[in-house]
Amino acid sequence: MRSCVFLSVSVLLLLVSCMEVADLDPREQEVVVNCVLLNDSVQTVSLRYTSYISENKYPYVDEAEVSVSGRDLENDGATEHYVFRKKGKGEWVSEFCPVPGYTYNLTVKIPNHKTITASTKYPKDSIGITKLEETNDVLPFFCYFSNGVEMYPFFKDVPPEMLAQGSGKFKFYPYIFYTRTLNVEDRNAIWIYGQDYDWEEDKYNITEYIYSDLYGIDGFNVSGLTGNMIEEFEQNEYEKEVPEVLSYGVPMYYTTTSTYYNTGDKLFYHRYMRIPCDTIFFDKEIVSYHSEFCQVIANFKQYYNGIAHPRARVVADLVSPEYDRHMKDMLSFELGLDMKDTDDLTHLYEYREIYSNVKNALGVFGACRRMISPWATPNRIYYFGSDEKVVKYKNIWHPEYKPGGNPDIEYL
Amino acid sequence: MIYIDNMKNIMVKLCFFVLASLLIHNEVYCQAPKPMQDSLRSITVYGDTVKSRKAGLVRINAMSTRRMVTALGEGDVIKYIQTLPGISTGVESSSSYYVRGGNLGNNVVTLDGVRLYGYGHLLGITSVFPNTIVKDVDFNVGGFGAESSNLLASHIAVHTKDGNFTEAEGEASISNFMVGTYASLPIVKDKVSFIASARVSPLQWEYSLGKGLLEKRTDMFNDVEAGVYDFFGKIMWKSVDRHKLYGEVFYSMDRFGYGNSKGSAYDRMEWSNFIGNVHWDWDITDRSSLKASVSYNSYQSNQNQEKTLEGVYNRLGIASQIDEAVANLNYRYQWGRGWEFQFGARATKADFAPGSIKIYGEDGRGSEGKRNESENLLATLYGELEYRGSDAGHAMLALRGNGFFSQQGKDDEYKVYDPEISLSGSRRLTGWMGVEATFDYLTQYYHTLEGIPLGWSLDMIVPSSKDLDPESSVQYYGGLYFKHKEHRLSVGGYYKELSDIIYFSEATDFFGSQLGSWKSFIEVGKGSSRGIEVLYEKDGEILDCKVAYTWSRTDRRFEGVNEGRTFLAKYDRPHILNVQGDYLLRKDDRSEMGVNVLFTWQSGNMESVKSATYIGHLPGWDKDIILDYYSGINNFRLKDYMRLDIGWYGKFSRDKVTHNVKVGVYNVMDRHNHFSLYYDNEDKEWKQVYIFPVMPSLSYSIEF
Repeated sequence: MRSCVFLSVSVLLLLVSCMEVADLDPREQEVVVNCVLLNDSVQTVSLRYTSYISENKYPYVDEAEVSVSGRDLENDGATEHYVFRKKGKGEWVSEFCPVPGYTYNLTVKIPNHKTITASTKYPKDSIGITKLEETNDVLPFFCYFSNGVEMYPFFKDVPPEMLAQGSGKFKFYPYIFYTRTLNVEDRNAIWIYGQDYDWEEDKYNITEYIYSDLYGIDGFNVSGLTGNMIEEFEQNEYEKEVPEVLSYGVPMYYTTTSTYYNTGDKLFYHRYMRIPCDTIFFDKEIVSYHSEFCQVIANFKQYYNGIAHPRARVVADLVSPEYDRHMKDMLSFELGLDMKDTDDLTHLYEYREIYSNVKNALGVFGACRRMISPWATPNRIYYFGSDEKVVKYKNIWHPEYKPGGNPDIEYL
Repeated sequence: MIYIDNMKNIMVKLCFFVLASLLIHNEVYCQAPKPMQDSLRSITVYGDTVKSRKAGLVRINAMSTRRMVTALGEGDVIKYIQTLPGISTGVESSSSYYVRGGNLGNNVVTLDGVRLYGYGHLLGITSVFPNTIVKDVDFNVGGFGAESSNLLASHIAVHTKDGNFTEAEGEASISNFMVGTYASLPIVKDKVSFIASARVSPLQWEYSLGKGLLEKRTDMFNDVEAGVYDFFGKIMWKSVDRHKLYGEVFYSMDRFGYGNSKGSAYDRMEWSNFIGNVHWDWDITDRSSLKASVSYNSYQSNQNQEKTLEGVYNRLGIASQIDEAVANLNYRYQWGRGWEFQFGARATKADFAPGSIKIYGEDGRGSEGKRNESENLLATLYGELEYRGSDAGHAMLALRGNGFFSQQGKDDEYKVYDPEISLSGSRRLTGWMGVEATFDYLTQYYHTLEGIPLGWSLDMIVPSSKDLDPESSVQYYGGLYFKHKEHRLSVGGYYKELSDIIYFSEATDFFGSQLGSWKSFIEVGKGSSRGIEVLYEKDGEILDCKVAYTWSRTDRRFEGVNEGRTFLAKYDRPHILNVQGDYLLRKDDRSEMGVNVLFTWQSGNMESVKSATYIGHLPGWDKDIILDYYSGINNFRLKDYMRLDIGWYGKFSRDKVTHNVKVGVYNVMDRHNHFSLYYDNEDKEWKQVYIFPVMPSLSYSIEF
């Protein structure tokens, strides 16, 4: 028996210690293409090479002929050609704005490499932001109202006098992602994420967690955290002051203690919310998706007195199916890596395939209609209370104000 | 005259003995010689003429498996089967086996005709049924009999002993990982016998004793709990007027926990089988018989993972349960010279209940759970016509008609009807050569979502439904067999096509089978396999040996995997060679000892190894995401698998007690055979895990 015990223990020892380096580098190299057509005047194509797995070097492509052609296939329109010029290391650009509904073909010729091709269709549909683009106006997604904690998404200008009537006495136009033309057959998807403003670095950082009660959100990246587990949603003393001073249209720094829409027990998503268009339609042909009382909550950092920086924003991307699939694979991969414990022997090596629609290369050629909505619009905030407080908060809410500055200096 | 009569009498008896030996020999064509009794080496008398045989069937006696050297010291039926031609194995030392290109879930294991879903003990390293209760095992890979159903690849039919009707006998055994006892005694002499067996693994005690020696590099083995045991009991009654009735129960449990129960993570897993079976045989006449049985089996598996993530308690749990009740009625009739016809009906009522639960926070506020229950009925009518009356030929035709009905919720009903057919035939061509062939068209209604390929019993099994058609296969086999004195050789080729098989994309994620959404992770597709199987055997009084070689090619194709391109199956191993030898050192009335050797050399299996890495970006997120690029799924063949095991066995009898000792060394060459791979993101290199370097083992049993 004693010898048996020894042997068994030795087995357990071996179970945890028998690891060795395995030489499994096939030394393969491939070109990686990244090009996402945006509702912008300049389009960019990035070209790099993959790295051998034993190294960490991703060389840029030096020489390439890059072009994109676009055409309205449904109406048999004429083809438009755009030749890209090299701008920097591995970067080629061209000035044009993609046309909704057009199909674009990418061609990349690299010496001693097969011609790289890919195709995508720029989303014909739009989501709410069309209205904003037309009016060149900016409106917040969500506003805070005097009667407490309810939050309403806005995309249309709401006259102050209507707001003054209170939330329950007038008809809002709070449709989010309102559209008349979303086409289920295009299989597009909407990706929503929050971007916090870092006033010290003057740049935007994506928020780690986001939540909405919107219908049809893909649960693939749901996190294990609920609202009351996220640091930014912990209520503090400063928050209590806000309702006393600010009135309508104030960006809401959401807490988990709200009477309504309490997210304390709601699961947040890792960084993005993905809404496949096929899940939000009530009609296969023409539909509109509206949610009068939906909310989007992101864990923006506290900027001042428990509220987020006025430049914080929410972004909604309507993306082509190829880009959608590519992004979903990438995010799954990234989250998977975050969660893996390589000491765990029960986790065997996992194969993860990142979708690519590029022929003879990796990466993606996709399309994205982006709308950006600021978390707050200071000129739509209504204040009440003492003049002193009003001035203070007007200044605090000015985008140029920085914490630690003098709130008595009037920026407005 | 008296002298002549005596001589004639002796000659007749001798001829009878030779013929009887040949008949036995023929049945056990692919095995070591059948011993005169379970624990004694065989004495075999050979004839010169090859006999026809039932193609696709191998009968394995318990002795062949008990002498094998294994990592745990326990002889094992499945380990023996893994050395046969046409069989590819899964990861190192596991009980996973892939028959002629089928999936692991395409195999069926039955214990006295009752299906055993969780047949792996000790994380799949050995099987749940102890050798002491096993009378013999039929391993069928083609030309399936009418009673085999709901499978595509193989059937391991374990038959337990009847028990001793005349005197009490017992055995106690101990090996590295199992302590067991077995007893059989007549309750009513010559009428009622009783068998009981119980085993328990001392792993928990061993861990407690050796905990201090464990490496502290990881929390994984900080707290270990292990409960592994099984129990078998059987009562058999037989009457002089052709009736035989038995009832039996079997229970097995595997429960493991590891991690740091007070730290950041703790994992638990367990699975159990319960079988209750009542079986009645009635030999109505010398030519006709009736067989009826009613059985119930329950299989449960659970996995739980508790982790503290970012300071918050998380628990993930998945569970699977199958409760199955089976009624089977079978009638056999023999006529003419060697013709036999049987028909029967079987109804299998199976309730599946896979479920999952997630709990967040100590108070469980963020909890959610799902349970996908379904009720299923598989009704089968079957018939079989067999000819086995001549040494020159054997033929069999088996037909089955299946009706499968499934209901998942109120409105989700599913019905399907399928025929199945199996053919088997062999024919002696000359005195030393014969030809054989099989054909099978089969259907399978249960789908295994194959996870970590250890052959352990945690894979979720789901029934066919509206979204998941039954799997089916067509298999052809043809070959020749030869015999010259004590040498036997068979050479054959097979081709198999699989349809509607599934690919589980979360196979390597421990908690990948989030049961509520498992349908999102499966792909339905096709597969094919072709191969050549060669088996040489020599049975001698001093030396037995067996050489099995397989060349095969197995591929898969799924629309949503590998861009729809065909790829090699994970356990495609083009070349598999197994050489076994058993050399008798000494044998007399009171003792017997010998050595045995197993050498196995196999092509490495396929892995999906990343070919390169590249940078990707997500919108709004200023981070370089390093992505893996694969030139294809299963794109890399690992290095060859090679292993040499050497064992010594001894048997010593004194008075009424017999001592059996087996000493073995597993993997004598200390080959670091691949168990699993992972990519170390910090060191930027692949790491290979191997679990059994040189592994000595010792087992001892005492019979009385």
